[in-house]
Amino acid sequence: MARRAEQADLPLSETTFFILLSLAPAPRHGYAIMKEVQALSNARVNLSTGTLYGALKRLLELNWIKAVREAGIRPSARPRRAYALTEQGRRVLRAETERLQALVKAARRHVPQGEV
Amino acid sequence: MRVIEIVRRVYGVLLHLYPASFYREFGDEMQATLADMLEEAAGRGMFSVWEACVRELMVLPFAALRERWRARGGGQMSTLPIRHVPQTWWGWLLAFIPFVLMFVITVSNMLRNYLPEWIALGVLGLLVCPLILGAARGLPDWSVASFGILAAIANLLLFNERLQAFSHWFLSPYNLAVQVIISPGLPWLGLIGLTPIVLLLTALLKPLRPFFHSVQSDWTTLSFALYSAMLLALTITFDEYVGEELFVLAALVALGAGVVFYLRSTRQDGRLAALVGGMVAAWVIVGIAKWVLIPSQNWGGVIPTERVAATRWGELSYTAVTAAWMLMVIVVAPAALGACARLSTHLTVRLRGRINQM
Repeated sequence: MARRAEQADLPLSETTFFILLSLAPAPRHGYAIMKEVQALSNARVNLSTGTLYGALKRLLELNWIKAVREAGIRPSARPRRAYALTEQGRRVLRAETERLQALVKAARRHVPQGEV
Repeated sequence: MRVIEIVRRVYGVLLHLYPASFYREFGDEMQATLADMLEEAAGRGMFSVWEACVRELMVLPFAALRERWRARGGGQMSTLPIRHVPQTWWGWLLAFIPFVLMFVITVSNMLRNYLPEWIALGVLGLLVCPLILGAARGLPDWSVASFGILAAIANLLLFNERLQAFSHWFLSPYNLAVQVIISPGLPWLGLIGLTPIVLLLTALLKPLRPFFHSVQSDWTTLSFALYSAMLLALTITFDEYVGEELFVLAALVALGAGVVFYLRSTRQDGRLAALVGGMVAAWVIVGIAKWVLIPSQNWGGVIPTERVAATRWGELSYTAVTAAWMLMVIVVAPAALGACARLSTHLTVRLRGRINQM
């Protein structure tokens, strides 16, 4: 179960949730995050660079993500900064997922099957 | 493609709208991400390129302004502790300065050693000093103690004459009972109007904002700032009396006790009780004083014995109504303003949430 400290940060905005979710499997750089968020949300959430980096800055300040170096794919390419979930960020993501699951569970219990 | 090159250049210029620290940290990375995005969009066709360009160039200025707003502390909840107990001896002294000065002036009057007029300027200077010193530190409690008396004096000089003239016109159709209830409040109506303006200034001016955050967390901070207006109320209520000095000193001790308990209390209800307790005790002393002093007053001749009782009850009624008005100024109005300040936080947080969704 999520601890009280994480629950205090909930609910997350949709943007924050998808950014954290995109970083759950592995660290990613900015553009990879944008593409992953688009894929996870079925193209419903299309982040602009302004929105993405504003959100990344806040998540860094909250210590939910950290910057890591990603080696350039091409030898000439500059190494880029990638972002990874911290333990705290992972806990917040888990807490938000549990919260959403509980909501869905309540809705399914309350509304007749097939309507939800 | 030429369009991509132009957009990249415009984007590079627009990035300077961000705060310098944000630009230094993310500027290069954002440009690299834009380049990746446009490169991939070009592979899907011109429409995708235009779509990406329009979205980026439209959102970026707003995102930059949002970061500037955040950098200035906009929408941030105060994390400052509420600083009630002064940490130094001079902090305590400054918190008491209006009461100490009134005490000195009363003792001096009692000894018939009336202070020269130029001293009044010095007293005003001493009252202003804590506010100036405190302004550099976000107006902690010890610095705002003299705000009430200064605001009350300003209010009296600025509004009282106009309000009195207005009252003659406004109150004349009403009966005596209405006039008795409204008249004692007239000198303080301007103060009720002045306080929200001052509070708004503390919200707008960054150095004074910690005070606004304190009021948001605990509205009794504003009550405390206005508490010293009681000193002017004491002066006015004894305006035509003689021999009242001992009672004034006793009322000052009651008010001073209110300050001590307020500063030492760790709970909001305790702080409120301290201020209300100090005020009520002071007004009870005023009531007793008037009851005792009336037979010895010489208001155009000694009051005839048969009229003493009526005069006593008349003065007591006036005192009770004035006390109620002071409670309105020092407790009820700040409580309402505190609720407005908290509502502004709520609205700001909701606005911030909306902006974050952009």
